[in-house]
Amino acid sequence: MPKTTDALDTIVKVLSPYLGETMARAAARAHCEKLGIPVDSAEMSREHLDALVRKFAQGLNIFVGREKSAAVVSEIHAAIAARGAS
Amino acid sequence: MTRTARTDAAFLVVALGCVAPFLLPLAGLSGGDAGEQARLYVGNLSKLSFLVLAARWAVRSAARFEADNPMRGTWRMMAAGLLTFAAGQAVLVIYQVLLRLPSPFPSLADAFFVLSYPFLLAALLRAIRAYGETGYPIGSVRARVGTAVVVAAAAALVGYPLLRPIVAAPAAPLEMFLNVAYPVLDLGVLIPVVILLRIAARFRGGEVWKVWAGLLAGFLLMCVGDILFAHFNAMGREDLEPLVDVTYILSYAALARGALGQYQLLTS
Repeated sequence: MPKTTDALDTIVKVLSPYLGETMARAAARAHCEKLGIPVDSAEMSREHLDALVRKFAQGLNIFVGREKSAAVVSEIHAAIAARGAS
Repeated sequence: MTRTARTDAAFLVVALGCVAPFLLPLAGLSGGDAGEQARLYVGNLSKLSFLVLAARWAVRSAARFEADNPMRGTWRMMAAGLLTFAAGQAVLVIYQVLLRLPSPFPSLADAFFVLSYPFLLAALLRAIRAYGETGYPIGSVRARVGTAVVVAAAAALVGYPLLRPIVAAPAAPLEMFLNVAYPVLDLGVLIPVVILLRIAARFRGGEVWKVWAGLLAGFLLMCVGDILFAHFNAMGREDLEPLVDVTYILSYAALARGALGQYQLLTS
């Protein structure tokens, strides 16, 4: 399971070029709250991570289309996996 | 330098190059016959080119969005508005560049220009609704309604003194109608533009912001240009003519930049 702070930082980093860092961070906080994901816990469950990324992707679809959004989601998962492996 | 930064720089350089001939008279220099010719050709053709490019990228962006994406409708309406607007500009080009005649006012061009507003307004309203559907923290519906009320009140306060001398100036009924209609339609468009600006500002630093910053700057400049044009036309303020052209050229360049930004966002 990824560390919560690592997962959130990675999501924000990947999404910032599209949404801007301020919105990426604000959206991460808002989505975590809505999904009941504790941001202060040490680790984020796989279910929570998938739900959070899915929530981001739903919004991103509207700006960049489904194809690009899917590519961004893959990028997030790959970046989190790489961070976990390092 | 990133591709976006290069695109921004290219647009800026081209737009500034296009407005350069109009800066001479604003600085008190006419530039003689060459200056007149440059303003005629560069002014007309740059406006038409930027509008055609904006419409083209809007059409292509709409086509790239999936059928169930709310932005598809937004970009279709934007494309329809920009195409109609470009048709109006093409009429002006035919008069001024091909026939070498001063374009009459009103003319067929005005029919296209007026017709474009419902499409553009629909595009902006659809964009606000689409932003709401993202689920991102873009502010409450109540805040958006509040913004609309404040902007409408401010537009009425600013619009009344701006329009009073235009209404008082003698003009044929259709001319008078258009002199008033353009600024009024612009002020109407300004309401969703300001709401969108407030929303889009939350995306500062990202590509989404750049798309909407371009489009919204374009609409704001169009509003300024139409108000200047109404004063120029109704009150014979010929000194305003170069400034009108400058604002229109920059407006259409910004619209084209915004539309290209969306297309790049979908395809890069």
